[in-house]
Amino acid sequence: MLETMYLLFSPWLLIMTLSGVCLGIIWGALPGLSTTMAMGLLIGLSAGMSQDASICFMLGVYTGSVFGGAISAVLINIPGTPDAVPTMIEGHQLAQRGEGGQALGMAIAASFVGGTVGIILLITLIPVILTFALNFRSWEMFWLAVIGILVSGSMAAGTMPLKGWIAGWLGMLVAFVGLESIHAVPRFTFGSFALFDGISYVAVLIGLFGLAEIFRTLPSKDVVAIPDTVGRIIPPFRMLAKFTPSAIRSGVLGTVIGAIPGAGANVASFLAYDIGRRRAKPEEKAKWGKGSYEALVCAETANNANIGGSMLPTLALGIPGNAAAAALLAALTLKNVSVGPTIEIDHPGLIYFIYGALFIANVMMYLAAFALIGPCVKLFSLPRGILMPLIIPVCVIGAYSVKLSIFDVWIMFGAGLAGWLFALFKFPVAPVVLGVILAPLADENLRRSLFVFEDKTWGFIASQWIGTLLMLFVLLVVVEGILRAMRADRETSSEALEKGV
Amino acid sequence: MQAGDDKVVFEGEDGNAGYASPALDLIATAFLLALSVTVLVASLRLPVPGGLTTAPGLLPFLTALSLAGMAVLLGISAIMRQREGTPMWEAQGRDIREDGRSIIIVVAVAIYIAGLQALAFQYYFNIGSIPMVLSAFEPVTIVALSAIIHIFWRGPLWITALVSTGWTLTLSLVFQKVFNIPLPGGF
Repeated sequence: MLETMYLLFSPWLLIMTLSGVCLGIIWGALPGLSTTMAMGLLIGLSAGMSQDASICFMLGVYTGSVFGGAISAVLINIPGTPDAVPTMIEGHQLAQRGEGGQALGMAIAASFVGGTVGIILLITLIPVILTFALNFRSWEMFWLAVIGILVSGSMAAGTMPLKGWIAGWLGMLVAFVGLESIHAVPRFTFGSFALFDGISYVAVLIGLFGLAEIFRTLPSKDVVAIPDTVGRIIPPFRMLAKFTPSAIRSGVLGTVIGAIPGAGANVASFLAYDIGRRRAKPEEKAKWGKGSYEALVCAETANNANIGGSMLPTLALGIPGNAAAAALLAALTLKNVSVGPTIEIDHPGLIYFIYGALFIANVMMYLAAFALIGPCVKLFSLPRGILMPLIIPVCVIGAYSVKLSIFDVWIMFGAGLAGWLFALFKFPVAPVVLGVILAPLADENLRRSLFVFEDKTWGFIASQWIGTLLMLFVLLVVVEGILRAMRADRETSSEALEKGV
Repeated sequence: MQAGDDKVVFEGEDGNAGYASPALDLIATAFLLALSVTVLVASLRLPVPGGLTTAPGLLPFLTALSLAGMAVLLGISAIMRQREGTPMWEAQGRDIREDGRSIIIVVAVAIYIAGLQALAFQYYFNIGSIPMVLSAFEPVTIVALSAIIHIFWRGPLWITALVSTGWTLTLSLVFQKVFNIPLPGGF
């Protein structure tokens, strides 16, 4: 462990973490550039780094970009990332009262507390989950993969889980292309050698979250009012201490939400925001929606705690907690790091390295955030018509750098086009990524377990109690999704009737 | 996402996802059904080297079959919504000009990638004692970026050219010299 700490404090890794944090903060602060987009695009940059540097860099980007969204949310009333919407509701009201700097200071402190709570819970819970997960065999891993895709679909598509599941299933179909893992039979390659190696999920990720976003946002017009001054940023200690209980509660909530596949930082921040309002004292509750520091703390703590939470299923089970964690998983896979129940056996010490890197990234985020607010305000004045095109070559290099193949660049373009069409047809994209990443796990483990079960009775299969429980959970997710869709249908019908249609 | 006084409505990672107009959902249904049938047929045609339990087409077949089922449900839901009074083609606040501009950027990016592929070359030279590589990435990116920025920003041409050139050279230097990553447009 000491050796890991020594390594983490080496100048090169500190520089990489700081670079990741700074890039992440700036990226997250720019309207329209999400955390997942940052993670997806910068995989390309991490491809040329060593394994340690790549992990530090990507964790830095993750930590920085989740916070970065708060800067534009507070100062220009545009959330840089989707999870910064509650921060925008409260923070911009404060900024209009001339307290923008202090609101940002509180957001920075809350993000730091959230990140810390998330990491502490990650360190506490991971040994428990790993001990449990070591009992998982092929049958259980198959159901876990299916759960990951289904839950992600269910969470991402709001009132229409069916669309989320379809998106996840489409992702699975993409992953089936190429040589399959048991008999090395080429599947759906249509004679093309370029497809034998499968479709690069990094290219798919960059296309869906990077290029598609450019196709969607570049043509829209932007009118941004830039604030003249930001004001005092460091909040008084008394104020920080006053909201500590809310921060810790929201941190725990954010971590738990982060551990659910598909439930991203935005679900965490809004849930913590809502629970915070219900539990607030009457005088504070009255300020909710009109510029409440406590509300801001709840939202910002939860979305940063979500980072630690999302790492829990990613590291322990190999099931990404959200699309950003899926990008991190992709970056780790590029470095031949396979995460999952056997992470401690396959990569001894790596888990401590990741804990340490997360801690350092969190501290650096706290320090760098204060320094980067000024430059970010200057960047806001950059027109979208200049900013967004500059990302196009980064998407191209990112997709190309993994296998040095122009074919992957075309895959990225196809994924970008698909992502744009997904938005047009109102399908979510996050489940596609989960589908692409988890389909090989599901495919291999289903066939392995069926092979093992070949001569066994149904009773024997049912006696595999963890698998049976997971199968029941899958049913539960499907039934819950159907009920939710039916409820939404009823609401839509009654709204239509009320309108007299 | 919305925050009301009494109720907070949650949406997932993709805020845009949900009901589309019935016509769009029916188009999606038709596409998904066609895709499912193609995958079903293709997975049945795959060789089966071991037994059925380890057949390479097993999960693709099951996935395509369930996808077809979900597509049918999507279609039924669209028809039901249309019968309940939802207009077949909802405008959904779409700006046709914006869609047109989206198509322009899609075509521009396709031309950019095709340019990188078709015009690939590599030229080695030295600046002082530092070896450098010039490939199609630099000229093609400068031209493509200038064109895209000009279409979507309409600012002074010299700023457009300066930004495009500066950014392309920065990317080229950072990726090639700091991270040792070759760029597209070379060999």
